[in-house]
Amino acid sequence: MKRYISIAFLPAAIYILFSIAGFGLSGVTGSIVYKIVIIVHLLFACSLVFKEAGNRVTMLIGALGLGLLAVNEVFLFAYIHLFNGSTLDITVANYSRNCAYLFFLAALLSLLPPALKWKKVNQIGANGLSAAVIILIFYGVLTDQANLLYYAAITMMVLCTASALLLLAGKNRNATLFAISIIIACVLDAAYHIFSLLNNLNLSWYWQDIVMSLYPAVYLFIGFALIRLKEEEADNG
Amino acid sequence: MGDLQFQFISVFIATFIPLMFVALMLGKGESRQIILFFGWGLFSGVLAFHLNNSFGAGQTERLALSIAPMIEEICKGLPLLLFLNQKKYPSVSKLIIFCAMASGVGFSIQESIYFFSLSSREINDLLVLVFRTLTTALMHGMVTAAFGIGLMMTQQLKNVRLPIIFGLLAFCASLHALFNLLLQTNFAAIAVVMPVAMFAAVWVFLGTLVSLDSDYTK
Repeated sequence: MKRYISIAFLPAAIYILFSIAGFGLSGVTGSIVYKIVIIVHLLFACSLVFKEAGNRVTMLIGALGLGLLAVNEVFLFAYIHLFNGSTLDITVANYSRNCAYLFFLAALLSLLPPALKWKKVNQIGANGLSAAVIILIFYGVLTDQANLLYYAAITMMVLCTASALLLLAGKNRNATLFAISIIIACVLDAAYHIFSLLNNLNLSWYWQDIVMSLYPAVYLFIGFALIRLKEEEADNG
Repeated sequence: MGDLQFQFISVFIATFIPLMFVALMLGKGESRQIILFFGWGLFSGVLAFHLNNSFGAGQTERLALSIAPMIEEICKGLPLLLFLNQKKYPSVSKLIIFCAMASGVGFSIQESIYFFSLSSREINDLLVLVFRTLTTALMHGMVTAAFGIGLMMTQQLKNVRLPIIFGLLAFCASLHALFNLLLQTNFAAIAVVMPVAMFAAVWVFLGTLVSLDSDYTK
């Protein structure tokens, strides 16, 4: 545990510095500093989980989710700051960000306890619903429909949160920790999408910026929770 | 039928039919599957061309950065899902990657011919073609190979395959879009390095796999 805390110190320190420096600035979420901080955190968390995962498929899937988020953020960084694109443009990033949650959803479903009532029904339901939502998001990006994207993304977050809630009742403490980390990420993302919808009505960006500034910490938390899954397995072994 | 449409279909027919004879001669085994996937790659070029035109007509920037990566990755990777039903799944792990790469390379050949047909046919265009073949063709092959590697992981998690497959397709589309985007910025050198780095990574990964190919061909 001490090892992980010490390894996590560097990005945590960057995050705190970033928070102090950037929190008061308006438009922080569009800044280069914010994007770099978030990419550093994601790459760090992803590489750490990959390194520790070995053959543990649940951890590998979680790491893929973090990896996809990292690629997504690199794309957005390049699109906004190198290509002079706008944060309002609908790009492949809108699609891949939601697909990253599919990896987390798969990891959550694979952690469901075998004795859970209606486990099979839950799995089939979550599989089918997530596929339907992602096809909607895919169609929304292809046809450039922002509102359809936001509604589908919010549905996706609700689906992930519901799957995570099923794990909270279990006795596996580390799986519960992972579920909590995903719930926090989903709530933040859902809040972000709701604020995006409100912004279409010309409301302030301020609340959206506050939500976005919390992401680096959440990604570190997800990485940390994924690594804890390994410890649980070792204890059981 | 337009000129480009005719060209796409003619390249596909002229290559695919002779390849089918080769596939017949090869009999059951890895080589035939790789040839068939290469043929699919050529076909997916035609399919993606039509779909890209349907959704992205007149939107050059959006087509390159969003629409094309999403459509092309699905077209290239679609037949790889056939591996999920194979009973000898563990023994075909390397084969998935080879077939995925063959599909990606087949697709990139169609795409390269398309772009080259639009050029002014000067000597410099030949250099561009060589450069394009070294970078974009490799990128298409490697991104689809990455999808193949991801599919291998799903063998232990049959109940949650669907979200993982969609996630992997998004991963490939994002890498593809990032490559297209970087090529249009001052950081194009990074885009050039990307496929080479991916090739090295897949090469190393292949080295770590236990070779069970001989079991499969028995």
